[in-house]
Amino acid sequence: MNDLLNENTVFLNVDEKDKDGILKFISTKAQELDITDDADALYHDFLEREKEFSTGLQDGFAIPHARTNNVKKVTVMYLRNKNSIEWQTLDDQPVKYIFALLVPEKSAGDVHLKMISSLATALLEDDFKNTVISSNDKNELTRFILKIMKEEN
Amino acid sequence: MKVVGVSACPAGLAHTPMAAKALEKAGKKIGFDVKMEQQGSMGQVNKITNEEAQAADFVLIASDQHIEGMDRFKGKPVIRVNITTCIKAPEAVLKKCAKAVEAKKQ
Repeated sequence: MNDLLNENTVFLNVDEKDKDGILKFISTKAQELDITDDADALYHDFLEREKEFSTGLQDGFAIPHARTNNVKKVTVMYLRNKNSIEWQTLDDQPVKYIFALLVPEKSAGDVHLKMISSLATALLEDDFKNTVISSNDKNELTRFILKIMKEEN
Repeated sequence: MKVVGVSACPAGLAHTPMAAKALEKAGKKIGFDVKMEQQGSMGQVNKITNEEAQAADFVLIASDQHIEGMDRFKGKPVIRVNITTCIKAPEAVLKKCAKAVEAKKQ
């Protein structure tokens, strides 16, 4: 369970009403999983990042991220929300599928940063998006995403 | 059409590689030779050399941030485009830039 994404960081039945709720959910889980010592500070880091420009993508996806001292280890969370929510996206569509990227400010290590980069570029591919949208098997989904992240892009 | 460029975003984690990849992919589709350097969390990735810079028809900067090594592109038409626009509509961005560059030549 040392991977930056594992079954504990995949949440397929999230039921939040808005972006704020999602960011709070991520921050609270991060504290529970010992990824941060300060959920509230992390939540504000996410908000700051969103202010710079929104992390909404296309086709219902968003990638909120925080690169901050409040993160202790590189982590990727995947959340699937029950309903679509407002999120300022590139195609003006609401968001349902969320990859949260949590990275420590310093010495994150290129291996992990490369994996995050691979994940981001995978989000340009329909095949990847379709699997992530439809799979209900947490174990399978975790392995699938990790495999993609470890591929050279 | 030969295109070089640089993508960069505030955190350098996700939008930077996404824009680079999206533009390179779109380039392949429409027959443009596109090479994008990423200035993100891992420093300079896929670096553009002086030779590549000078051989390009134009330079596409997918960012509103400070870019390292702009001197490489001296004398070349440099076009800045919002990074999210490059992710959303990479093909349209390339075509539009090419058109603008061509128009200026005449």
